[in-house]
Amino acid sequence: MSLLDQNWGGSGGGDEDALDDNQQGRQILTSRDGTLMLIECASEMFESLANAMNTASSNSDDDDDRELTTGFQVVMRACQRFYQSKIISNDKDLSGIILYGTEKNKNAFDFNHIYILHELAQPSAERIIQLENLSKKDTFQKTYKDLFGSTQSKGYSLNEALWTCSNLFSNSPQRLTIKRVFIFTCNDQPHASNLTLERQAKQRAKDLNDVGIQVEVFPILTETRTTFDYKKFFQDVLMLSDDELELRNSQAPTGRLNELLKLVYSKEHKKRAYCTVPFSLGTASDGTPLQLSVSVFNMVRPCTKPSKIKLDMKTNMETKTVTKHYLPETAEILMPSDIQYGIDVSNRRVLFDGDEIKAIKKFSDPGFEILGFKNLSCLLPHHYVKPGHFIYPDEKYVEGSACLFNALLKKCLEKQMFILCQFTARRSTPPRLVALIPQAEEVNKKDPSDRIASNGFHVHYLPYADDIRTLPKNDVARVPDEQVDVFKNVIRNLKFKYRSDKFENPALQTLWRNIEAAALNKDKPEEFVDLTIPNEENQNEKVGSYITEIKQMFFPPDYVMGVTKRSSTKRKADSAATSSSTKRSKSDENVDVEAAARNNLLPKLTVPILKDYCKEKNLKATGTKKQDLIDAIEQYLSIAT
Amino acid sequence: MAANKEALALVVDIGVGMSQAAPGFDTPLQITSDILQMIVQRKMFQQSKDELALILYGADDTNNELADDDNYQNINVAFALAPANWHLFEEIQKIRPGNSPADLVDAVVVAADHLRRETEGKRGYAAKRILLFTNAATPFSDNNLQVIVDSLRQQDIIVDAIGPTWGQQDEGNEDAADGDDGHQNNQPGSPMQTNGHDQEESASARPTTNNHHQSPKKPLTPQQKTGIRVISDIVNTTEGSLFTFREALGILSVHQSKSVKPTATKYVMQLADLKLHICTYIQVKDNKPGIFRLKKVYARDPTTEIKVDRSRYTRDEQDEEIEKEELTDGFRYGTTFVPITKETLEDMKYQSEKCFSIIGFSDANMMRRSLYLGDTVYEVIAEPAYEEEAQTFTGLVQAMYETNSVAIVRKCFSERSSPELGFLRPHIAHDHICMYYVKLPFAEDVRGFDFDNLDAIKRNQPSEEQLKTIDNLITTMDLTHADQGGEEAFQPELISNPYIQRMFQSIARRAISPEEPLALTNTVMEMNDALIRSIAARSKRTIDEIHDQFVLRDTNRRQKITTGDALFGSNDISTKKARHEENGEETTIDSTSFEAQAAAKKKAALKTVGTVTPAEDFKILVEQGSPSFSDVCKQMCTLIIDLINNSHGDSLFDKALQCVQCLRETCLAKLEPKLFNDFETLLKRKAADVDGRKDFWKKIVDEKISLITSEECIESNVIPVEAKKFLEEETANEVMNNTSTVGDQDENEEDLFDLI
Repeated sequence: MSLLDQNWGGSGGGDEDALDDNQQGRQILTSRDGTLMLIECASEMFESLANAMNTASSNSDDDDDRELTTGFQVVMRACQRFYQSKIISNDKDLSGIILYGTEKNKNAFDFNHIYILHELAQPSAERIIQLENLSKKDTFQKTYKDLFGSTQSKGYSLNEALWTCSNLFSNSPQRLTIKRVFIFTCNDQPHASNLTLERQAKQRAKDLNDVGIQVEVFPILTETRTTFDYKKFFQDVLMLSDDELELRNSQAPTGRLNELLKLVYSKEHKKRAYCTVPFSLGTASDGTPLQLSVSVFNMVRPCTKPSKIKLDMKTNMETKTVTKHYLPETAEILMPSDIQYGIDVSNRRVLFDGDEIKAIKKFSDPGFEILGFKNLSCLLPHHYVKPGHFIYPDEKYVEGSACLFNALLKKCLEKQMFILCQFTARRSTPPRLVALIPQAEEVNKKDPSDRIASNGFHVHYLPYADDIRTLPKNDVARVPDEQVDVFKNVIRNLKFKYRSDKFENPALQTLWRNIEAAALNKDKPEEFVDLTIPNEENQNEKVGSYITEIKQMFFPPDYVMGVTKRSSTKRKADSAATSSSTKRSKSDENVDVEAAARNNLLPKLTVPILKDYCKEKNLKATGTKKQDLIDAIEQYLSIAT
Repeated sequence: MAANKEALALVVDIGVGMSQAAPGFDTPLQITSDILQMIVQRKMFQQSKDELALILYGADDTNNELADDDNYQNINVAFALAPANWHLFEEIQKIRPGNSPADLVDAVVVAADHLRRETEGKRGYAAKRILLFTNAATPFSDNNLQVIVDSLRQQDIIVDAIGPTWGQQDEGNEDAADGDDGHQNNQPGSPMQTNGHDQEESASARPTTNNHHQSPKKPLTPQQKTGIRVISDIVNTTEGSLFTFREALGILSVHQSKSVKPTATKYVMQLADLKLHICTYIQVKDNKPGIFRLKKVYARDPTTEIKVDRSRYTRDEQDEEIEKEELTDGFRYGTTFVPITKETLEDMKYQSEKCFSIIGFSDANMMRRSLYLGDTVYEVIAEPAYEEEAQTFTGLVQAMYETNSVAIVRKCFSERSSPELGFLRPHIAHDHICMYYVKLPFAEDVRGFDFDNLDAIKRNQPSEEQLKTIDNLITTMDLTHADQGGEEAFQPELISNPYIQRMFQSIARRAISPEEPLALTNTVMEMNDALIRSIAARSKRTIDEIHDQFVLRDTNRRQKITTGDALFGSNDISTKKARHEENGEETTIDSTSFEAQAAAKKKAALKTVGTVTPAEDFKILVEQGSPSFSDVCKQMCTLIIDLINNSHGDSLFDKALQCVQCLRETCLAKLEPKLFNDFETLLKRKAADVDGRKDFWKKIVDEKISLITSEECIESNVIPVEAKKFLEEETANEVMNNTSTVGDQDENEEDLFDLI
């Protein structure tokens, strides 16, 4: 799990009720996370890092990270990366940074040595650039001094620092689903000499926990502070059990920090139901409807690209659109009640009210209605119209849903059947037929904690007759088996195990990196490796010999693949003629067109050929349509039709 | 293609024989008229270029080019050859039985002559047809029949005939008739199958939605027998078809949208060093008929199309309009706005070339359907012009098919479009070989949601007995061979989109009788009624067993939400009521929007609170006492919220504020403080919302419009201090925690908030 993940570090997602959608399946609530970085600024933070930390930070491939010699720089870089990743993964989330142990102070209570660098807010380019200056070798000392004063102080109270965090959270204008405080410190016992302060700090940490604020510690080891013992103080702050304590103390202190230092370009998706709807199996004889409740999730959806917005040139601020409906003649602004909807059929305008349009679209209330079961083999390769969903039972609305759902799932899996349903997603969405395809839980054999697929039904939309097009049959001669075998060799040597998380979207990744570079005034964007471009060299190495064999089997020796566009008339000319030139001569063209005209084949020729012919013969066509050209040529050659 | 339309003469017998039927049954002429209307509608809906003529014989007046004093009498060319339009439709509706017998063969001659005259010198006609509607009851002369038939053949005119029966077959036995007539329907060029879709079997197998009473079987008169023989002769010689009324109705009952000509998108498929020319065709894509596109028109003058103005404004208090020239493109980076020039924008875009490259092969079993993305299934075949490459392509398909492999592909439509990932699945049938292409997700598109194993909780584990019951359910509801003749039931290929059917039906109904309400039928259930009934009957016992064995308890949570919904979220109930009272009949109207409410308002005189003088309307309605007080209040609340939301700047705020005040006074007077207090709480919450209207809330605070307190009204449970605090507090999230003002309503309010 990533640190960017909302569920990290605790029983996140407990607020599921709030996340869930209402009955209509509309998403209204946006849930945001809030993260505060609480960073100690003791003098040790400006010492060289301990060896353990050093290797960790310079382990990363990034050259920039090598210049991070002090704990403070590393922490600032981690915050910077956290902001950068947040902008991509979920830019609605709020973050902030508080320093303690500074000379200057800046906070609502005038606590000493506590400095709020960033209030809880969405990340911005300015903040990131500032953090970059606070982490870079040649700028961090000056920037630090200018902002927080030159000296460090031990006279802080962690209680007051935590209280500041708590206060920032409660003053947040946005409702936060998850609140976290990350403490970065090199001091495993900050108030060793003052028991009162220590007691207050522990009590405050408990209060924070009680109002749902999670606290996490990132130890920083330096030359003089080479160990970090959670037992001394932070066990009580983090509320660790003895087992957890042991685990913590045995872990390398750098693991979590390194995760923060990583720059991740991926969007975070909060697990939230698209809608929660009834699933109707029928009606019992006594009239009770047999209904369970299921939550519908979108498991695969195109990740949206950052959308272009329109800015006011003068201020570079965002603008808004105001849509007005008006009458073309009088420019009178109209209210919705003045609007009707028209469909023109053969010059007659057929009129509907807005509510009638809705009524036409409404067939039944949202939900699944079972039609029956079918063998999975009834699903043909082309039975697909749009991305599907995943359903999982919901006990909130109907208790007992999970048991019945589970029974259906088990039996469908066993009998290799799918459930055919009519599914209405929203009130005024016409129904579609869906196949509920059973999915058993699949776990990675090597790592049982890695769940590859969860159990439930996939909702697979089926096309209607109207959606399936009739295409001409492509009945071509089959290739004999021994030749097919050569292709099999190609396939075998280019086979890999497809996984849906294997390929990143090149267009999206490029855009993300470019926007970032533009916002942070970078010369060039972060590098991206596009795995979707096949490595031709590599492929040829693996299957080159078979490809050569295939070429020899099917193609004449001088055949050049995939280049020329040849019309069928040209092909015949080619096979007869010796000329290998791809450009046809003038006389050829004339023969072609005239011969075609005599054989009533003009419609088979392409427009450019017809146009060229017309131009050459100075023919004036009545229009630009193909038929006009044909008419002109036929007239010229006086071929009666 | 130049030849893309048909010339079609509809020749209709309106003689006495056509208007005779047993009591309670439609006359042949009536059924003919229905069929004709359906044909014309269909041509109009499909925006077909086909041209139609309407020729009535047995008419009281004579109107045709061939007529002189003695010949070709009582044949009326009611509509000269032209694309279908409403005029033709009205001519069909005007058809009345005639009393002057006319000769069938003469009518065919007039029709052929008319087709010849009208098409002569014009191009683009792929076929010429005569569609003959008769029950052959009127006598005629077959003197020159052979000459006439020869001339029809010479002109390439096809004659089809449609009547109640064509003799030999037993009309009552539908199965037999269908079986025998199947081949006729299969002709792709038949007049009603303009789409060439393979709907033939389905159309006749499905019960028609129009339940016409067919005439009971009557013995044929000798005249009819002769007539049928002659007509069959003409039809056969011209290679036309015979249809019974029942068949025609069956075929026509399914609306079809405009057919789309398959067009190829060409690529060069690359696999290592191999480059093959291929064509992709759309095989499956959600069909959204273009004709359904709605135009916004002015209600008071529907000929005026409403224009839309989307101008840009600053997002601050000034609310200034910004000229197009003063705008620049940009992106949001966190809260930072990054302006980008047009040129940089191009540079920032990912550069790609058109391609269709195979990255590698994978096991077909890995391609879960749940991964499919995009809205289209493409068929991929080799471009036939390149024979050698086509052979190579075939070899590849065969090898993939035999090794159960799919190819993972990077596809890019053009330099300007983003590359996509997809896969090719080989498909081989006895007469068809191709691959199907479907889009696949990128890593960013996959949301790694995790769900607990259902067996982890004991309560969720079904017992052996329960499993056995579900087993039974699957067996009794197995559709794999449930259709007639052991065929698969509900094959996607045979189920029409009910929405498309209903929309066409609604357009037709509204076009023909604009005043009548719409009949909203055509659900999948209705269209497959017989099948559903039979399955329901079979599974009845098992359903009861499930009911006994599985405990399903409704927590009534949904109920609560519905109540909240009715309170403020949507006004559909009140609208429905208003409509109901007004029309005095049940209409299934579901509406949630302001538009819907406004539309209802327009029709319902003063049954609802209008936007023009809402406070006055409200007072009158309250006095009137109907609809109920709570309903009127609901309307008022919805209206206030609409006013706030639709207000550009604060232009409508005063009006809304007036309404709030009026609502408060009235609630106070009627001893219903809760209605108002709930509403004000909601307003405050909306103000707290980012997109909410904080400024409006400010106005409320400025005007000191507080909650109704227990001092003012005994029914209220809000004490004055709370009310004061309620106004003073920030609209921030403290409101959520402040339960005292909201009291026990809190939970409902939560849901309410969700809804709005």
